Amino acid sequence: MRKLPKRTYNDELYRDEWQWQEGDLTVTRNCQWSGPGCHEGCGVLHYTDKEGRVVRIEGDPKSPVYNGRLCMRCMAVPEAMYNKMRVTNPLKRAGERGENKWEEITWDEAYAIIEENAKRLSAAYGPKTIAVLQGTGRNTSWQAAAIANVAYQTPNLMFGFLAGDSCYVPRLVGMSSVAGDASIMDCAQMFEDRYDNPRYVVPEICIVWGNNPIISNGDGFMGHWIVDLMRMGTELIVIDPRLTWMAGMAKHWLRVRPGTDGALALAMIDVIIKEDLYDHEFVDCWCYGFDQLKERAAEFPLDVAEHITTIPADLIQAAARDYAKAKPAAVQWGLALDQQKHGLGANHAIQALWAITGNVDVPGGNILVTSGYIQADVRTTFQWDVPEAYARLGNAESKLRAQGMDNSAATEILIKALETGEPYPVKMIHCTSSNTFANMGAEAERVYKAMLNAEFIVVSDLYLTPTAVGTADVFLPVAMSAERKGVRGWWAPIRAINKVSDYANTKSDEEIALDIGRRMNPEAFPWKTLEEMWDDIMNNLQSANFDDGEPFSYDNLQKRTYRYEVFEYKKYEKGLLRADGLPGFNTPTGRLELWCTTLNSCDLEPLPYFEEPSPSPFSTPDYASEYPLILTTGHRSWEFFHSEHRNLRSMREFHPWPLVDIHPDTAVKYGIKEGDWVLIENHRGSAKEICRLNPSMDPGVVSAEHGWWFPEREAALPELYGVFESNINMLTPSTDVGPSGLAAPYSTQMCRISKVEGYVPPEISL
Amino acid sequence: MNGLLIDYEFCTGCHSCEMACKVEHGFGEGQWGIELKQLGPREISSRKWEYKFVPVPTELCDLCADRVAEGRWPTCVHHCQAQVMEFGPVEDLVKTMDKEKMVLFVP
Repeated sequence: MRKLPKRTYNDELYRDEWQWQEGDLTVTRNCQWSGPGCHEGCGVLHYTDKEGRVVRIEGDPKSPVYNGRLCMRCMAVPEAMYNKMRVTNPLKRAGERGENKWEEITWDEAYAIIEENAKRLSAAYGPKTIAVLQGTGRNTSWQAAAIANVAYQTPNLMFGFLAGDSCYVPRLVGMSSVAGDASIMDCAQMFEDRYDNPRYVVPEICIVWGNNPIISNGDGFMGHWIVDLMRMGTELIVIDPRLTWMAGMAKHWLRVRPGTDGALALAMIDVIIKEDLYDHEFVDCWCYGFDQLKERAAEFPLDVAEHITTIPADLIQAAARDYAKAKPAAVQWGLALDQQKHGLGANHAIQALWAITGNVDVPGGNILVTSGYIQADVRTTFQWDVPEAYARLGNAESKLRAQGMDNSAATEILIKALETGEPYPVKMIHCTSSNTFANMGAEAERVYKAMLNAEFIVVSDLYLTPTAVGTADVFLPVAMSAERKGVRGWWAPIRAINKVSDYANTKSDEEIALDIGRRMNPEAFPWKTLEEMWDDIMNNLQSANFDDGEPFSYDNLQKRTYRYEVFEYKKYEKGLLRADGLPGFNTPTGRLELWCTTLNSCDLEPLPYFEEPSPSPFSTPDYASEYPLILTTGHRSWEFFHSEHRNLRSMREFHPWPLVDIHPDTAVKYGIKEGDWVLIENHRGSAKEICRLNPSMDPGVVSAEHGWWFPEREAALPELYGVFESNINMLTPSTDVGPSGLAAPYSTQMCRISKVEGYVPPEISL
Repeated sequence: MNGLLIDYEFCTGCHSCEMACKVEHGFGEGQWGIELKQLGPREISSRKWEYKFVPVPTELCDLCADRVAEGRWPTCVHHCQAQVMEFGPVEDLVKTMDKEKMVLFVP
């Protein structure tokens, strides 16, 4: 096997200690975890001057997580911190909503307004009338939960109008139902010595399914780890409607029709079972429902699967054989599986694939991770009984939700509650770092209008986003990563977040949670200062499991920058997964459930399944004659994290305008050339983006970017930063969710396209 | 004489080299010390696609002379997400060219 080249670094300039002086600058090893940012907590060096300004950021070569590498967005961190759009003080709306007229107020004044409204509305309608919204995967998760469940005591904590919680939640719920724990691809990230760890095995095959991880780095997974493995010999199978760089490097690229992944996975299972390529021992000892799975998979023979997925049968067969024969093999899956209505059926099928091939919790396979849940531990520090927990929006519609398998309230019910007052009125919204209708809110303009029905809205964010300008009554300016103390735990390792800088009168999400908590529910927030709260939290992290004998405290973590917990493979053999200490999985049967008892008990399909997307050329031919192209959305770009970074001049030089990928033949058919503005429309609405010709696409599929607004344009209405002009979620549905209330069809809509004549956008004058 | 050795087989096109270079040198818009070139995506034979990237140092590249004098790697080399860039004396780099799809630049 090939080894990765190793580079040495100057030990004076790049040290093991957490902080040192370099001339006039202080250098701090740190974890950069949003915002602006992404799901990662990259190892960086913050260089601060005497005034405490971050003047430079570099990758930390001593970080075992990422060894000095850094993406372009992190290099723009100082530009984001000292951006002219940064807000320095809390704001109170001075004009009408959307007029962008504000009065600067103190934090005490802001909190007093929030407290007065929250108490008044709670008294009138019950605390459940308050909805707390949050963005994805950043350092705002337990803080939003503390604000919602403990400070306001509302059960309604949710994403900012992300239909069907369709970002990782469907896969997490699928995994906890089927296997009792979450699985991730093993890139030796659980070990400090990484690929050199003697227990680790480089996978022979990796399936990259429904994501472009080198760009998206979703769910705490660094995509370039797979590039490391490729250099050590791992071959790829890539399942994606577009040719990504990884697809171009792959042994097999399966150009799947959006939304048909479940059929593909079942067809692969069918090949593996029929050709007797499955792991008999693992299936016999540890799986439940194999015979039923076999029957279900037999409904998807290769010719049927080819017809559904548009992937040639021989390619499906070759991919299934190569994956099953490889020992070990891993799957790195992603967002596309959540952004189809029946994503739960698809993720169940893919779990069945890695189970029957014996790749569960083995080195180089898909490992079960039961450590690193620091954020969950922090949540338990804030134990509080939510009085109306049963009334959480969406519980009545989903037994999975009612049983607590999904921690979020349902946004498709929230939107109806705001519009109609049913099942009960939602009168207040507290939105933390979520740019709802600019980003993930399907039927974007409907979300905006629904939000306006709330009597009182607080938005806390880094900048005045379209959501803030359009809806906020009070705006709270939030501190960025380098301005916060904290701890990052998401898989491994646990990382210290050091506060090295201050910006004007901004506050961290945790300080805001404490401040509001002390006003709303003082008994549950006994700490006088943030320091006191942190000390208490850090000394009560329950699940952290170390074998080095050192106690866990912030100071200890800070000195080391990283700490790794104990990790074992094949935990199901060792009695390490269940509360009763017996071998097996943490499921009712003790087995990995190919036929899932939990899903069955929630009146859901117990087996992996596929259902034809709707609309589609097959399920709705009439609709397809009017809107003939399949529209897929949600792919990422290097320059932006969702709707963030549009205000950074540097990122806009690389990526000035929204792009839609179109096959050259399709472009010719509609009279469109590369660089033309294209109107993408369906019966819900339209968006305009610039054509990028992409010969790798199926001519019947177009792929459009999301998250676009234009900070260079007028903030006030009617422009509102042009937020509805290139907003692809004008075309996606907000209430068409999967049977469990999980997953939504963001990536399987249909549209038509035409050239926009004579459109010249305002200059990017940032 | 120093050079940049790039294993472009595994260059993912992440733009980190370009951005790092701009930040390090304070280059304005339209100025690049290293520039990413894209090949494809194009189908070169049935089911075989070319979609590759090669970063090319420009006239403005000074191989980060100031950083190197301090004992650091050039910033593109340091930050490359695929870790496919190496810096050093040309005669040393040549010795490590042991596979296909590598290119040695002497800016």
